[in-house]
Amino acid sequence: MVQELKKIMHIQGVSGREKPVMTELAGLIRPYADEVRTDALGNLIACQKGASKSGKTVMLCAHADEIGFIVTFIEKNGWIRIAPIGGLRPWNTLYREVAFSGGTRGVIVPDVGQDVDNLSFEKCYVDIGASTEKEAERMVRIGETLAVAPNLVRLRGTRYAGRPVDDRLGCAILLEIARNLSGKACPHTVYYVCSVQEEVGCRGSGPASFDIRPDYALAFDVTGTGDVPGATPMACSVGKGAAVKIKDGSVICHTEVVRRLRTLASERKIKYQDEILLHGGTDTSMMQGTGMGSKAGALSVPTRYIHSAVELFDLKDAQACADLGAAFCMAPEQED
Amino acid sequence: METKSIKQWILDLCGLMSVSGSESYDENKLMELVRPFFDSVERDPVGNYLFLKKSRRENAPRLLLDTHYDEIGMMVREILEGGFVRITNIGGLDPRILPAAEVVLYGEKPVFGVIVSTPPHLQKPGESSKLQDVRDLLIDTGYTKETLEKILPIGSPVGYMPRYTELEGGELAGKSMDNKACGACVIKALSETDPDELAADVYVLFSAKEESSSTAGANVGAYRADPDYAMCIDVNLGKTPDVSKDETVELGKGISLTYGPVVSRKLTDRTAELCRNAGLNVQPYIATRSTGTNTVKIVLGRAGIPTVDVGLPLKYMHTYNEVLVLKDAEDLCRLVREFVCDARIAEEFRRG
Repeated sequence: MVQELKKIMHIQGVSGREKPVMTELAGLIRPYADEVRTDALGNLIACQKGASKSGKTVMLCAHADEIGFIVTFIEKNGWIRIAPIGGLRPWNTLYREVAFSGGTRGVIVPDVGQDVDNLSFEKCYVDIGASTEKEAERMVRIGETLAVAPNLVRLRGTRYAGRPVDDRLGCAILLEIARNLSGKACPHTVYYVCSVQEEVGCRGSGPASFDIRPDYALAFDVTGTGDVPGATPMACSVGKGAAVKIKDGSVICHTEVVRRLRTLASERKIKYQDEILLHGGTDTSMMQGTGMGSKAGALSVPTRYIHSAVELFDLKDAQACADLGAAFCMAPEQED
Repeated sequence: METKSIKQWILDLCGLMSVSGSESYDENKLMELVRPFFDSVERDPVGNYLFLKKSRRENAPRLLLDTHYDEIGMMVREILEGGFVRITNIGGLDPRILPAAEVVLYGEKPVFGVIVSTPPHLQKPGESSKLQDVRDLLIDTGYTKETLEKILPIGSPVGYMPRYTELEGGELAGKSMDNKACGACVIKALSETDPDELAADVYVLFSAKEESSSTAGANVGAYRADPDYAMCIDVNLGKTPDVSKDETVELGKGISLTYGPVVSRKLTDRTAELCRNAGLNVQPYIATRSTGTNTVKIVLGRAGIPTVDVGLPLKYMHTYNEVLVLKDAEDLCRLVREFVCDARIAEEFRRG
């Protein structure tokens, strides 16, 4: 999974500009899918048709977009002014290398004399090494997107840190499930959706689920943990298995789906933990509440330092999400 | 058959447990109470109940009456030593009123609990005026950790203890009148209306998840019902001496009608006219942006749905002692009866 993850982490896809990473993802999922298409918003939708006529429709979703910036203005002496796209804070972005979608590189820094604790991005700029406005205009365009440069380092054992783990790791999990289920004669039809614009308000997954009309829906994303100094008490830790979402800031998951995931994990001896995330939202909410609605839940990879350049996770947790997700697709209905 | 009083309807429905996300907990009791008065009921994946009462008229337009069925509450987050339980809020709770409140934790079986409260003797100077975050509060259950872990899964809902008191002047106090008191008015009205009188096929949406800041319930409910026009009914903030009169409505003076950019002005005017003709008092209420109710979601349903927003005055919203005046509820009940039977409105809002 790591090689594939690394590959898709290194192709940029700031919200609204996901096409390059979607093209790569389409190529990777095609061998396992009966059908691959892209909808009007740019969502990538792959389908494995169910073997049974009475089978259900299951939608799996991970967002392919990432947080980043957009160029707003080029100053006389070649400084690039930017605005954030998605939930970014200056203090976890400053003094980092950034990559523009057109290929230019730069570094993001604050104006001199700023109080870093109360800093806004209006008082930050990107230095691309240009000396004049004219020179800068040849390297960067207004409206172009950029993001902190991608990276993935292996720490101890199966632990990795880098960006954008949120949510290319979810996309890598979808690929893993598609590979696992291909040729398995799953009775149910499974849709794999790599969604757009999650980081700016879960905008892609709604229209995708309106079209697919799933009976069951699962989102795959990262979640916060309570296992670092000063964290809000939260019973979720890196390395303790797939996190079965009960609730986050945007959704309360369907009780049947939560129960089903717990039962399957116990039966298959897949390591899992409960997740109640106090802040933040996921595509789960849109899949639950669009069109006719669906029984929605989510599997999360516990991740430290989310939205920074060093998002840290354990590969075993991601594998547990993939295993549990595949088991769910084979048998989503909870028998009482 | 003698009809059930509005007070009894309110006690019956508000007493059910329906914390947001766990709307099906008392499904059997709900069906027993409500199902007999409707032709069909549909349960959807979000947790909505959509009841249909058909008109005897052929080709009748479709009317949606929305009252959210969920209530605010809490959720079990962690079980600690000594049978204490860490929680999170479901919906907008006020941490000031929670310490020492009696609650029920709905695990494998109901567990009674009291929210932990520091005695004044042990509070540090200034502490009593400091607001605690709901997420730092604990519930004392009296169980051991080991036993509790067996009967109370993480994620279990927690609700206020259902208990009701009648005050002087026909006032009723208790939990979750937001918004099942409105649901009670709607069901009573339809239980007393003959299908011959109905001007439209009436879809009553007991919507889910209104309190948990999700748009799912009203979105999916309105999409499924696909109505020609809609009335969204929710409680409205009642006037008390401590709050401004600009943002509130008075108790005992009838229902409120919302004016603002979100609602259908025409349908609102028609409803006001209908109230006038029926001798029902109406308090105008202004919402310059959102209505703060499901109306904002229903209006944007399908290709757009003309919606009127009606309020039932309620004091002490989101506490375990919400207070309403029974006469206002009777007014609401009458308005609903008149509205579902109004053929002129039904024809005017029928889609072309």
